[in-house]
Amino acid sequence: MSVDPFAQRLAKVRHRFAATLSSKIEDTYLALPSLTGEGADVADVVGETFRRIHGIAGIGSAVGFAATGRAARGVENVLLAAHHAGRGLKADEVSALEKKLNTLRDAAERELNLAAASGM
Amino acid sequence: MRFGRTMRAIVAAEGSTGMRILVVDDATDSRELTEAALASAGYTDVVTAGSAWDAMKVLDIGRTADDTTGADLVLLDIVMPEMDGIEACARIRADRRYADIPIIMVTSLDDMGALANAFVAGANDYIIKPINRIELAARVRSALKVKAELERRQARERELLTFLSTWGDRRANLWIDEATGLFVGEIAEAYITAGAEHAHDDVVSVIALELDRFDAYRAAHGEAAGQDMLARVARAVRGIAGTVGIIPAAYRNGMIVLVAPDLDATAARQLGETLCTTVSRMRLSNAASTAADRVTASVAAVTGHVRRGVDRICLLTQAIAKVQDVIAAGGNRVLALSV
Repeated sequence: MSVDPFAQRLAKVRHRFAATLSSKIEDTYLALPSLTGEGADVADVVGETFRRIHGIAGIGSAVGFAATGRAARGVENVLLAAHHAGRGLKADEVSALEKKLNTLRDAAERELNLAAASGM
Repeated sequence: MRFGRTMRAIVAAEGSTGMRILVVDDATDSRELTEAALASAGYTDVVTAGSAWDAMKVLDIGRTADDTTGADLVLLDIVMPEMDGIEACARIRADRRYADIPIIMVTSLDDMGALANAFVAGANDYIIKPINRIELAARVRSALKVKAELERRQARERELLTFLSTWGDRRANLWIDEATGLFVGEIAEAYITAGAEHAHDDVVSVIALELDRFDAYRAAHGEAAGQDMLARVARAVRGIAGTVGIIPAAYRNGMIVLVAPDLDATAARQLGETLCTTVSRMRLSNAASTAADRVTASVAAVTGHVRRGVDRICLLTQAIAKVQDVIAAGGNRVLALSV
């Protein structure tokens, strides 16, 4: 039986995505205190955080983590304005980010458990 | 597996598998998935770049020593560190070698503001993340098809300019028919013959158009009125056949011919029918006509797979002869012929 090369590469990417997902979310939690304030350093952290989450949102559903991808999109939306403006997050944005981040963590946990149960 | 075969068949049919695609994305997973999706669609010549700066190196942006290019299409992620996709797009487009390269932005649904800037920067299209591989294959195929067509036309345009620049007498008034503003018939003859020497393929169509009972019209209304009517028809012909590569020309007796390299029989018939219908719809009054109360045209479209210049001239003579047959049979219709 021939093996679809695309399916093979998808499985590889899916495995890598799953293996690094929790640490990416954890890194985002750890970055929360550094996301507010002014200055280039803060903007850099916001940019780095945005791109980290963007990476999850960008391929989540393609690798079988649809809910995680959607939740990451929610986090991304909160970060978008600050990222585009090159500034730190405002208080209300931090609050919204924490909520969205919790949603992302829950979705990721659920889908990682499902993936583990399916033998991935 | 069925999808894979279907997409490969579509891509192969378009003949674009030889094109090189550059995927620019800082996210390894995303980059790898895009590359795999392209490969499954038959695009095996894919290069990747993990940053916009790397993409600049692959494309050799900023060095314009020669005309070689690093890719035929760019898939460009918008969100990237240091230099984002929008700035990268603008830099690529600013390089004259990539003025026409298709650039497809890869974005998320909520990036629409950035996407608008990307179009200002010169992007041609966009695709939403997560990438659907069927959609990706379709967008890429479409963009490469447009690029190939553009290149074909540009080559034809260069060919025409070369031909005109080497034409013995460069005085434009010898090239252009004064009454119609079209090339003189001899230009069409020379072009069809010269084109045979470096044609990439051998299909060529010649379409001849003559106004029905034009001599009677001229006799009834005078030469000036006849020329005026011919000029109006010629303007319409130019508008329809204005595509680069189709040469419209007029003979002094009022016969208009179109030389169309690469135009197959079906397209030639359609063009002929469009011409015939357009003349009829111009509703130019002609009491001398026996076919209608207005000016009508007879058209003959002759298509052949021929390469030698002498055989190509035969297409022209056949088209001119056949249009007389159409007129003799009552006119106001199209005869299409493959030889």
